[in-house]
Amino acid sequence: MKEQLVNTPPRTGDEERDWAEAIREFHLAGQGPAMPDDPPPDEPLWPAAVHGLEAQGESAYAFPFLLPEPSGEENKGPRPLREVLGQALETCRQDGAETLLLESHLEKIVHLADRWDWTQPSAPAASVLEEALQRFLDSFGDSSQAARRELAQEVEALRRHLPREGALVAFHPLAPLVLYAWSLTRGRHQAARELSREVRRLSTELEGRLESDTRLKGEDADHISHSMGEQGDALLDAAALSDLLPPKRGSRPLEPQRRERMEKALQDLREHLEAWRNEPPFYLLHRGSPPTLPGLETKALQRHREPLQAAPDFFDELMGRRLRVLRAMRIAALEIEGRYTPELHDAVFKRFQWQSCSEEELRAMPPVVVLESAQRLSGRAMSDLSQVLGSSRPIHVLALNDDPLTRLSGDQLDLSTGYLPDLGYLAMAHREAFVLQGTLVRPGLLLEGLGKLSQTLDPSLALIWVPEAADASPKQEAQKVPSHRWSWMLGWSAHAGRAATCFTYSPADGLTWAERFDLRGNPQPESLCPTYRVPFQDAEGREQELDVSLTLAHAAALNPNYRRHFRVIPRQAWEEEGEESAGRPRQMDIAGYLEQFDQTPPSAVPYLWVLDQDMTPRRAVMTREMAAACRDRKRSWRMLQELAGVNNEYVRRAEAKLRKELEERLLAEQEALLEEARKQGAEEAIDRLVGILTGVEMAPAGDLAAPSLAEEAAAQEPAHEKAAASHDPDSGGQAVSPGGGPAAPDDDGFEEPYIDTILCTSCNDCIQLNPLLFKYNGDKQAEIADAGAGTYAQLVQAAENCPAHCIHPGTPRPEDATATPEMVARAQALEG
Amino acid sequence: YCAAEPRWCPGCGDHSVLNAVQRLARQRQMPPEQTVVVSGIGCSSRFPHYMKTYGFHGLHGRALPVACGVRSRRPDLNLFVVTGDGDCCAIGMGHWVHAMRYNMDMTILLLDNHIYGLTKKQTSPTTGKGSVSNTHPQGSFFVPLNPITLALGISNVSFVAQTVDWNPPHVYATIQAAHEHKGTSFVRIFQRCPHFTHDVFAEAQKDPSQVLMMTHEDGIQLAPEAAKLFKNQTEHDPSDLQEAREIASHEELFPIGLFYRNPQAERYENASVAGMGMSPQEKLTALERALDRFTI
Repeated sequence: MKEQLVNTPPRTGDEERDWAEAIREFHLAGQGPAMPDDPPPDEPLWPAAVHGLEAQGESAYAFPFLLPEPSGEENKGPRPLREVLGQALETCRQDGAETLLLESHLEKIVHLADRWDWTQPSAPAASVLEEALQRFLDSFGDSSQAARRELAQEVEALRRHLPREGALVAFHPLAPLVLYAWSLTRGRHQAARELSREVRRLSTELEGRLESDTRLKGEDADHISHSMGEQGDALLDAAALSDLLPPKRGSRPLEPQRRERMEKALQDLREHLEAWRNEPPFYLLHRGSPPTLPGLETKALQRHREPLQAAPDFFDELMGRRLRVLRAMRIAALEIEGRYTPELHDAVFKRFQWQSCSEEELRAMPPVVVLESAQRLSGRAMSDLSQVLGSSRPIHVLALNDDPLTRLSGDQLDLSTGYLPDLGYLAMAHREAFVLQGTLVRPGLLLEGLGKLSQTLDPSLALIWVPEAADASPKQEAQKVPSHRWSWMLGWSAHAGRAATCFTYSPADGLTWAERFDLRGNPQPESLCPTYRVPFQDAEGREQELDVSLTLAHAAALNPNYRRHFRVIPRQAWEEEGEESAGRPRQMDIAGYLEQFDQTPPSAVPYLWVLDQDMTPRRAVMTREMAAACRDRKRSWRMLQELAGVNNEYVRRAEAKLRKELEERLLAEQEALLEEARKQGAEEAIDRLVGILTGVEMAPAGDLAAPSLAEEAAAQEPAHEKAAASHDPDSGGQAVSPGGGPAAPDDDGFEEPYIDTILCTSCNDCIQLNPLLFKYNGDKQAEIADAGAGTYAQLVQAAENCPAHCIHPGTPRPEDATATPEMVARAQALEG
Repeated sequence: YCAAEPRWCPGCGDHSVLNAVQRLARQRQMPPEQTVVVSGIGCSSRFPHYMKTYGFHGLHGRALPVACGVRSRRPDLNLFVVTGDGDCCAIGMGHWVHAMRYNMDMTILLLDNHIYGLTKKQTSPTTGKGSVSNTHPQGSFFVPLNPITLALGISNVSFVAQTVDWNPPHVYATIQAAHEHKGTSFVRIFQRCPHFTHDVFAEAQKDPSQVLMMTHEDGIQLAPEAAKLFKNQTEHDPSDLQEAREIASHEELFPIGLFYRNPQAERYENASVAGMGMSPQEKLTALERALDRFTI
């Protein structure tokens, strides 16, 4: 390939045009002549940005993941195995054990655990680790005996500090289900235990109460019969006698109805205690073959053709059974305290529904969970989903999605519309439904969301992206990337490229978006596309750094399904940004392209930096559809930002408004001060003028200011007269000269406003601004009505607005307070 | 003649045309009950609402058939047709060509702002090549239609003029000449749309030398103080159809004035008014006689 590059002939005019046309054809139509450097169509591309991030450890692989026992201590949360082993080694060191060899091989143990035979998403941590350690030891079979012994000692020390309980979770398509089950058990364990304890207490008390009632009863028939002996039975009816005998002194037996009620309640409570022992952590409604999960009983799995349709009925039926217990608990409590009033309580318990239950009671019950694929939810099952989310029943819908680019139709992405509707968004539109959107590549964040989900009593949707393991391809072999790590990168780039965003929407948290919506945890939430600094080598082999923004296209390039949207172009077809020739579009990096792509796409072909097998950077141009999809994700992310209050437009506007108000207030204050100073100055000048005219010397003798003031007074006199003339009602207040032209400036430069009436297009703008200042003549064309009836600011504004540019504001009157220097400058700009 | 308060945007060129028509109506003392303004659909077609005369706000592109109908039975009315570039040159193209050919006495005012304004910026037939609109976000692909060259090519054309809305004296003088002409007077008015095509005419408005004014003793007569605004003038005889076509095809300038006038062109209403003034009985007899000709 390098030879080919070297032998490439220099760019000639014709060839340049050919390349440009071929690239453009591919960009617009997704087809065109083959490119010499383009890898085979089934081989995914390896974007340079993704490579750089992996090299930097930005997207560190976090599996396997250790989940402690759900009922265990609170402070021991789930952790990546790498961290668990690190801590165990630390403890070994503190105990004085040697850990030198293990420290350098920690990653290998993690790797061996990751390479365990994961047929199921989780397995007991002890057995996985045991096997991994054994294989680790075996791998040193060639070493010297002394070294092996030393290593075995270190491993033995480590083994003592490794967790005996808990499970390891692998990067597996069903891992979200395991995490959900874990969160659920952990979150609801306490509630279930307390409910059970309460049931046990009530039933014990009821039992005692009923037993003592039996004792309180006078003499029962058996006892009488026994006392009378065999002969007695022939003479007397023991049962009839028993009924006739009074109860024991000082006590009263239970009324038959009450006793019956208590017995019934006791029976229900006992049944529950029996059933509770066998109840699964949740009921999973699914379609197709059942998911194989460790620890999930068969009765927990309910297969249905349309699980979403079946879910509400299933829930109601399940609740019907549970309601019996809850009703029995209430009756038992009332009976024990002797407060049961049949007139009141009978009616209440007749209407007893699941909505009457307390939150804790509902949390103690195993929830109904529906497992669906995101593809089906986006298509055929959408209306069912909507019904469930609007039903207010606490049904949890888990949707696993292997491709965040999947369209609503459920088919594989049709990028022709460039619009990918969001299922999470749709669910949020149900307003009172809990929505979790997450991805398996962020297990910590996902667990946090699942923890909230397990506590919620609202109908809820959890949309979780599980990147599907792609088959090994030559590219992967070349990059030495195992297939699950490849899918990890795929998922991670989709997450960073804003295609698989994470958020929670929890209606129970408050009434405002700020309380309900949480977008934290996404990389660089404040920017539209996260940007990373990636190291690379330039043509001369020097180390350089490059800021790269991740987009949807980076994720799509890794996915063989979207390979047809990219084409690697040869070096000689590159065009630099800013290079324009003969109306042809330029080539542009996708980040820059998206920055400019607001309403209309820039006239350029976007490309992506990818690495070939020699790790040489290449440009991969993409189709218009792919670019549009990238833009769509950017816009979708912007909306999410807005909802989360990040770079909020309302805040920006409020800030701008406040700033403007502040500026205006300061300006007004400054104006007022100036006006005050001007007024004071004018008063002083008039006093001195009067003094001069009347011959009374106001100023001290010999003041140099006096003669100049006299001159000033003389100069002002004619101007005053002129101003008075222009206000003469007979002249119509117009300052237009007889010829229709502008009034000549006065000696002191003062110029009256005027209008080129003949050019007025009668648009009403000035008349609406101030009908006293402007008026229409007989031909409905504007002229100045009374120049003194409006401010200078209005004149300038009218002149600026005038579409015919026929208003001339002249110069301001001396007394006009609106004639700020800024206003005068605006007027001059108009005349200029 | 002023009716409802115009609801066009501030700065819209339509105001200027409305004012000119109202002035003309007042000047000529046109009886409101004998004046009709017909329009199609578009911003400009709101015109009849603002005239205190009879009016017909018709269907999109169908102003001219309505006007022809009015004229065919009412030769006594003052008839104005107000239409836009979309209304006349796109959907109403067929009607326009035949109305021009029929040459019935009416004044057609084509208010051309180069865009569909009422429906918020879609490319119209006169939108310039490369202009960005909602239907052509990358710019219009085609060379725009030139309504003047087209009008000058229609058989039996009798009056074609052009003006710019930002010069009210010229608008008035042109509409006045058009109204005085007996036959179909076609006046295209370059009209600014401050909202969607504010930049199309801005340069020409600022710099009058981009406007070429045609002068002639038989052309549009403008007062000297208004005429002196146009630095760029040319003498053009309105009876010279060939030269008219040449001037009309000027792409870089805005030619204004009278391109062509032919008072001798035949008018269809001379035929269509036959039978007016007959009593119903006479009409019935004439009808039966006509039908009898088909009797076998």
